[in-house]
Amino acid sequence: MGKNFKIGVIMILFLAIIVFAGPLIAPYDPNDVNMSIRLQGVTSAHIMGTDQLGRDLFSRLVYATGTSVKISLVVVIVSMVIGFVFGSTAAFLGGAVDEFLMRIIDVFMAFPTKIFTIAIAGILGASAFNITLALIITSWAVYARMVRGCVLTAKEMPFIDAATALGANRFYTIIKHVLPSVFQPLSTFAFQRIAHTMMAIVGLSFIGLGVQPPTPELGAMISESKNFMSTAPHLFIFPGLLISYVVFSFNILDDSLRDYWDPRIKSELAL
Amino acid sequence: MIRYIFRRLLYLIPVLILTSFLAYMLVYLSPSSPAQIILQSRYSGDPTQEQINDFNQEYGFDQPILIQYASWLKNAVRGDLGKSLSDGSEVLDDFIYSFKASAELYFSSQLLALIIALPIGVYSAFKANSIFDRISRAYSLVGMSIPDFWLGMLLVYVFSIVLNLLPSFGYTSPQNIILPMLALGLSSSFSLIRLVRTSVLEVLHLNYIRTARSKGLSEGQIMMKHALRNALIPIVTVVGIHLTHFIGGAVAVETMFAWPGLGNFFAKAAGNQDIPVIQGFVLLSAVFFIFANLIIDIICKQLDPRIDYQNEGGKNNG
Amino acid sequence: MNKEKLLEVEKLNIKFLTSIGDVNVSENINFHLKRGEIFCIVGESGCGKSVVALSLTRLLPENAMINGSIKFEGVDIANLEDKEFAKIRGRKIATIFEQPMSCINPVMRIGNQIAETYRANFKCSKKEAKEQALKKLKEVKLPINRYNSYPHELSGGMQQRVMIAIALACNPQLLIADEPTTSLDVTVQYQILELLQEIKEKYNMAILMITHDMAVVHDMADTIGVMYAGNMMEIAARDAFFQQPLHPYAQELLNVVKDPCNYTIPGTVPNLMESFLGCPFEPRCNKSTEICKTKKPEDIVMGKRIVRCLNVVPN
Repeated sequence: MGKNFKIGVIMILFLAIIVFAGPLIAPYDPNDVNMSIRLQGVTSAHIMGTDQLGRDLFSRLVYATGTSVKISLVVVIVSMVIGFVFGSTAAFLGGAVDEFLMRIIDVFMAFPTKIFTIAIAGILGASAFNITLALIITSWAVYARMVRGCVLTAKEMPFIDAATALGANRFYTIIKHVLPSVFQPLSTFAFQRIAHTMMAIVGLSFIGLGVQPPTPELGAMISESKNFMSTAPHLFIFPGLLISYVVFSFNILDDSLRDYWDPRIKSELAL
Repeated sequence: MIRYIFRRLLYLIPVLILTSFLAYMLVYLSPSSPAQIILQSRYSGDPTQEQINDFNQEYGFDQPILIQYASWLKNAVRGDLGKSLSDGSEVLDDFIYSFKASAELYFSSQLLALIIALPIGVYSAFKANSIFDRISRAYSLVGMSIPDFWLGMLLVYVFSIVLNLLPSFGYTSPQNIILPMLALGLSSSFSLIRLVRTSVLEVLHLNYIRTARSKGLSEGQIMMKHALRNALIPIVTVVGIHLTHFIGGAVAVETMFAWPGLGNFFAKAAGNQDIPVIQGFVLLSAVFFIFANLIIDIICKQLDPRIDYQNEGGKNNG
Repeated sequence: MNKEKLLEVEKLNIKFLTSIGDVNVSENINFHLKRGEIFCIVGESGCGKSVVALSLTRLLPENAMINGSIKFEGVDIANLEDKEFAKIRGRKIATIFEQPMSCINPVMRIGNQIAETYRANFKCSKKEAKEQALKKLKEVKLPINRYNSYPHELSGGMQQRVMIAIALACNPQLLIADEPTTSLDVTVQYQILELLQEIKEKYNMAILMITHDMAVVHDMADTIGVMYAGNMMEIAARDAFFQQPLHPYAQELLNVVKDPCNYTIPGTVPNLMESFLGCPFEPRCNKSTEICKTKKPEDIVMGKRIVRCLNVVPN
């Protein structure tokens, strides 16, 4: 494993502390309004300054990062589970069931994802819960298609037939051999999707369809800061830097893992 | 070729029907009924039960869902997608108007992305693991982590607020397009650099590149005549898919710059729960998306003489 | 310097530097080729034959380290600047590979691929290059209306003919043929070999052929080199070789040919990642002695024959 891998792991560990131990780190209540100190720059009491309502920016950022990352994780995990159940059902049952389930997947994938998400989020009404739901509805189909492909490939492997021919219980064989071969690509893929989902959430919150103020969320905070760009640029710069930090830490780890799994030695020999 | 397209179109029919049904049914995801939503916006207050009943009867909402859907679809096919609840304009007209604005922004920004990414990606692959390659990989990895709308804000901050050179938002002068185009174009270029690099690198490892070398071609000739053309196939596919995402793909940037594109318009409608607009836009964008994907497939097949139309994906050696 | 010798390889050492250690694929290999001669390197898969062939024209990946002398027409081409070397590759030494399908560009018309070779090495107009390409198509017995075909529209044998036409575009003096018939049907194999013979006669070209097929060797070779685990175990003229191979490995190879259904050489080809203290063939050799385990064999020259075995007594 290279240097990038280490950087990624350290960045994600640090992120995990922010996300899961946020209340311990934040010096103030993120929703404590104090109009007498609004739009302040960096001071000793407020290390990243204050926002348009005099709230401590650092505390808000800590909570906001937690909100964005937790929603991404929920979206990715739930979509992965739904996709897994749907995709493996289609692949195992095959025939008409598979055909029918595949058409459903096709339909879900026929929409441009963002438009679909925005439509659902809009109709359900903007809230943290609804944006989570909307993102799950629009992303599960990708996982389902992938799982189906993996299961079908694994089912075709000669050793499954061989094991069955030797008298092994077919169901047991599948649980033991097919499922693990799905798990590895699925988890890699899900990991890649975290950064992607994070971008979607901050984008939707930015346009006002995601998490609603006063709940701290990175995209929503940037949106709120738009009117103060010239007077208080720190209000949009800090949350943006944090988004980039989160997405980058997942990207760099994903990138180094991809390099690692690459069959490098084979290509070096070129025989 | 014709047969291939025909078969693809035939296959699209059930997808289109299901898609339109889903688009129509979106309304029923809402916790309140269409009548409530619409009357609320009309009278700006809670409607009475009597008003709701009248409304349902007038607009056919008391009919079974399938019949409602059928009449909506019948009108949709004739180009009548209803009127917006907020300003009473025709949904189709709104779509066409904002489609144009979106297309201007998106096509110019993707062109910019290509102009940036192609040379960097190709050179990066050509000099794999060199210092240039390392820097460009790090640069694109960092760039991919920056949200496009935030990049737009940084550009506005520098060019509009600090330097006062360019307008920060609007759609009135030709200068307006510069900043959103830069934001979107730069944003797309980062991942495109990586894609170009990987595609070219993959081709460079293939046997016919070795043959080209054995023939006595120079490295430059190998790159231009053999590697690029083949690497272009996946690149065109991805750029094509990017282009189809222009409906909604730029929503945050459009909102940021008050660009009257589809994303911006649609996000507003969704925020206002403007039901006819939501249904119409979802349907139109899905139809557009489906056909755009078909066109990309056809272009890719043109680029790659190996793919034969009778036996889809069958023979794909090399 | 013997004028007859077109290619002379001396003390050729090749190793790959990989992240899991160095791999030696060629150890002190010596051989030479005359004009008009067909030299076949034969051996089981994975013993470094192709690597030796590719190293001659610098077609190995960048992590391959090549040491030794490669003299072509009396000039040591192993240490030439890339720019000088470019004048030789493609023009004087051409290569054809196995699996022609993957070795010709799938999205370029075959005629252009032939013409391109000519233009890359000789300054000429597009028209001249096209004429040359048509001539070469005729020479490899492809109908000239195939000029505008794409590779996937041709059969495997035709693709290999295209490959040969590309290689012949500049009338090279040396043709390196790396398993040229391996992926082809038997009948097609025969036609391709016949074509190679014919062209060799016509241009008095030398051919260095890599193969694992003894039948091909028997039909084609003037001289035979047997390779095993990066070592050239024996070099001999064809008749002498088939009458009486000297190296135990060569003998085993012929035993397999005599009884292909029942006889196999015991053991498997060693992994080149391991390094050998003694003779690499020792674990599989039925004539090995104690000394084979600890001492590396060196070339024993007997007239035109060279054998690398500790148990062969020079006469």
